[in-house]
Amino acid sequence: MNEKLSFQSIADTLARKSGVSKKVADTFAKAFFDTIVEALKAGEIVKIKGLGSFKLVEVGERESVNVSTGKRFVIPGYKKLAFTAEDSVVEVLSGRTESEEVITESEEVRAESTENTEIIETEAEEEKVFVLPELPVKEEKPVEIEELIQVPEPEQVEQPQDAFAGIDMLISTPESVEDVRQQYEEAKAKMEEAVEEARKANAEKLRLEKLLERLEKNVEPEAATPVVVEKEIETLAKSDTSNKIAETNDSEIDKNEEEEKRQEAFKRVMSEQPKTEEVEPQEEKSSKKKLWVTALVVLLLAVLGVFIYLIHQNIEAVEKVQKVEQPAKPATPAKPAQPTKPTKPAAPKVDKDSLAKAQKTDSLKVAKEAKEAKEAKEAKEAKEAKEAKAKEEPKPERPTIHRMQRGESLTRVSQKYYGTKDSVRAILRINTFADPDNIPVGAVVKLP
Amino acid sequence: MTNKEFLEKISQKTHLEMEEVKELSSSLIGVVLDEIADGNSVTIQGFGSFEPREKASRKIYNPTSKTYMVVPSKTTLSYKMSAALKAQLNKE
Repeated sequence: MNEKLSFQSIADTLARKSGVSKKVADTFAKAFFDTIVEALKAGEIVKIKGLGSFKLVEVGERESVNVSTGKRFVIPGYKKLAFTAEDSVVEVLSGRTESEEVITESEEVRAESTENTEIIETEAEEEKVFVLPELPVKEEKPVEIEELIQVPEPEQVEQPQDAFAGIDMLISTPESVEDVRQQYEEAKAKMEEAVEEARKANAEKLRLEKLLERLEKNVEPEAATPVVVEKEIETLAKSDTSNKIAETNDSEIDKNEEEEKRQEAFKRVMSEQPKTEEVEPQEEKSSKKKLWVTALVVLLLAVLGVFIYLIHQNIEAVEKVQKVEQPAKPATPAKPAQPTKPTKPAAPKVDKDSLAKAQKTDSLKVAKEAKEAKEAKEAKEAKEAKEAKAKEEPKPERPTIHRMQRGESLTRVSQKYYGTKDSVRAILRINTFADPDNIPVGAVVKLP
Repeated sequence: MTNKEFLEKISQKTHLEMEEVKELSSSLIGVVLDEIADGNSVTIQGFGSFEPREKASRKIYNPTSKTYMVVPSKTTLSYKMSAALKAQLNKE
């Protein structure tokens, strides 16, 4: 125990245990640790199975105090080799498995009585069980499908929730929980059967519909077909759903009305989804052209976006330069404001012209962009000039003299005119007081 | 660097077969861990030292379930890099 073992003794034991010559064991062990260092230098994290991972961590520089002299000095930052032992290693060393790791300790003081917690748990379980069938209702939400088929169902969606609440109330007494759960599962199985039947029937209907649609498409003019087909689908969907309602009503009994409705809704969604998919291929020919057009538009928009971004960057750069320049030349604020007037009316004309000449030509748009950018630039220049003016104006307005009032001190005066107490010294520099701490009321103070 | 890449590099260096390298590395780790488990510390010159470190048991509080848990004491493997390695790594 508590021995310090050297590399050599480790290499020797390794040789003994694995039956390799001492030389091989020695070179291997050396190579083992050298490789770790090399990989770390290359900036990699070294993970060794059965041991842990090595990682280089940067330690930032920090300030410290020399205890004997009390002087502050900086401890320079350095790189540190951090090692994290594998969990299995910790387990072996601690002599136990990870699963036993954490032992819970019931806290009786703060928690409610154990009966209460039990009831809460059972309620929670019930909620979990009944949350599952709610999911199909959520699937209904996609508005597009509903709008296409035009089957408004807000009432049916609401009803299940009310009934659901009622059932929860029933269930909340822990004795009836298991009974209700059994009933629920039976009902669920029945519903699933019904759903499958409905799906099969629906699939057949869909095939027939497809055939009908194709025939009609051949006969009727192309433009009219999509609308007609949609209408047909609407009527068919209505008939479908009514059929299904009948089926489900046959198969299901008493208590689970709200779940029936959910299933119906789900079935509707199921039946609607394939139909909407079939409507699309008919419109493909026209939609292909639309696709091309939209693709072109998107491309143009992307190009425009890039241009705007570049121009914006330029503007920013120009602004920076101007910001630097303006404090140096505060006397010429009016100049940049003038050029905006002629350019402003000119620019819209150019816009109209370019729109009229060619809408899709990029070059003109680029020109437009450039002009807009110029406008923006000039507007900003004008703004900045105004701001500079505004900054200059308050200075002359500021009074040069202040008459002291009762209860006023120089710090308050400084606070009033300059916003800080630091200007007291400046005031004192240009004024002469017998006693700066006690200035008589009505005394005149010159303001710097 | 994964374990496999690591072993491949060693096999390139030592001109040993991958199989051998695998065996040797696992038995090397085994030897080191055995010593550590016995309470000894292992110092590898130019690399650093490994030693067991005991972590005391502590209480933790779970705010959602409002329960206190006891994390039992455990022994982990701690590593401290050698001064030589530190100098080497911070040379650049």
